[in-house]
Amino acid sequence: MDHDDDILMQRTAAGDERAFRQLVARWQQPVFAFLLHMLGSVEEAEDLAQDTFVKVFDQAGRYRPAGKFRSWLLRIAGNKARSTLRRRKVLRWVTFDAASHDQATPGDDPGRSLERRETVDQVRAAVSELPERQRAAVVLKRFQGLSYQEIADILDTTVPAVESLLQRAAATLRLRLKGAAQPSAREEVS
Amino acid sequence: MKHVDHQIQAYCDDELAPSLRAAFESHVRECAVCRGELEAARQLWAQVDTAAGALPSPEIWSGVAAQIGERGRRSPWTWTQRGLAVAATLAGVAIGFGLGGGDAAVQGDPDTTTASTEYLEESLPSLDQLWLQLGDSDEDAGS
Repeated sequence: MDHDDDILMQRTAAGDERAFRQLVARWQQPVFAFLLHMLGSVEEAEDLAQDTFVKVFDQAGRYRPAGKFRSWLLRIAGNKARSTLRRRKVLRWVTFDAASHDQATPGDDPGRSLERRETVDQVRAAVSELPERQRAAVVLKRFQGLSYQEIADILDTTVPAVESLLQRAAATLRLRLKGAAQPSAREEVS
Repeated sequence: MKHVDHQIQAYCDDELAPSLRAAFESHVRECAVCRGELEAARQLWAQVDTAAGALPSPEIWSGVAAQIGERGRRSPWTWTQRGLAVAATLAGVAIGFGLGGGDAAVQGDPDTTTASTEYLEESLPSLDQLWLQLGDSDEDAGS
């Protein structure tokens, strides 16, 4: 997909607005999801996603096609999220109505569906309370499916550092989700 | 027995080097503690993964298009093109001065001087024309 993105970026740089529109359509959901998990606000995530794509448009002429469009794009989005977080210091989570967006699985009974929604809310809250870089690493790895190398590129760090961020995030999440989570295997062993 | 809990995260994420993977799996088969840690990590991340679920669908394009549009749809391409066009025009003007200030001008041949100036005027659009033309091409791109 990155190769296709490189082509679309080249076409965008050449003034092809349709190509740019295609890029936005292709990447708006991942960018928005990343920003939403980083910021906790739908409105801010939408605004920053727009800003991200405007910057992509502005930078199209300078973009070097190296098959790393996703990393480049999410790095721009991440920088914008970081600036916003620095300004506001306090994370507001979750302003969107998760219940109206998280679809119940067909056949689920309402009780089970409610239970799952509560778990999702607990997880989102726990993730949102992680330090910024740990949160970014978790979101990029678990919600976006990126490799350690891609995450390292986005966060401007090394692969071992990404692994360390995820290890520390796991330790924190494990504590915070203890009530919501099933008992850990270590507890079962001991 | 040396535990491998420091490798659990990379293993869960399928990022553990192949050379370490076999040893890790072998250890976990033998070690109940590390097996328990691995299972706990898997459960944790499976739980976290549920939060990736359905999110609102953003409507990004209209806002992006509006922001780009507000700036007169000046794409990187048109800026580059504008720069080249201005440079070409300036070069043309410089050449024109060069021609005009050459032999013909020295000799004071009004026909030659006039002809070269007219040629330049016809062949090189004015800066205003260039801006207008490029503005048109922006509109085309935007449609």
